[in-house]
Amino acid sequence: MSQETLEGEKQQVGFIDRLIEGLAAQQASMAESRTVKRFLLNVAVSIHSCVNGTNHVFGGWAGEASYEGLSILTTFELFPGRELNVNFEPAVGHPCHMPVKLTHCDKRVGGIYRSGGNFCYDDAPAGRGE
Amino acid sequence: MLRDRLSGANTMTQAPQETANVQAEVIKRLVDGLAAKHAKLSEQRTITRLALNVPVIIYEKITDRERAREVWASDISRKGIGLLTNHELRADRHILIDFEPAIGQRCCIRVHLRRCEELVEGIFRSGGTFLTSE
Repeated sequence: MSQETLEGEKQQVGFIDRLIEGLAAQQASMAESRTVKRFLLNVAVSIHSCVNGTNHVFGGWAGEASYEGLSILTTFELFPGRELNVNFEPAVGHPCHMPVKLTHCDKRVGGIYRSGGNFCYDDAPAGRGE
Repeated sequence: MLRDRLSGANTMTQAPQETANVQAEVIKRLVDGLAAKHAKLSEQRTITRLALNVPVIIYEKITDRERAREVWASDISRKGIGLLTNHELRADRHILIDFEPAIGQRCCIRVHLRRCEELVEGIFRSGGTFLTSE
């Protein structure tokens, strides 16, 4: 590899330390500014989407959840604004369909997409974010 | 009763139309459970993991540095790193990770790939430890 490569173990440890210190500071600052705390969920979910009257069911990976919404990894693009039904069965132990409205979808490398969405409560749900 | 209301349909057309309060209650219980689990894990863990979410380049054979693949680094600690890929990585071997796409300069670190699991079809999560920390 090139001369720019950090070959020494001390340099590598130093790099990892600096990276982690930077991330910790950045994430502490983000956590303070967020009003809704997010938690790791890490479960497979099935996603139900209705397009032009046809139902599509596909798999996704729910990475994080909060009282407001969740993030999902998929192998294809999802479109912001669309409403999906997400079945949380693996997380709660029984079929549980939640409507989720997508807010964004970012392409990761290697054909993986990360989307985020808000739970669609009709109005004034109890216990939300308290 | 809550369970009865939530159980049943598996398809969109049959999906139960829970009331807003029932839906909110399910999510509240789910997130409360996650928060409790998170607090317990944080107490037990001596090594803090942080979300990283950057692209990195991996060389699956340290001796063949031309064969590079860009993958997604999801989290990191002082001990190791988590990767997301669309293909399986063979576990229990050494790979090289270059952080150049994330930091703008080449910085390669050797990693012992410990595990690789398929999360859902086409998405794999791998975990490895930095060889500097072994």
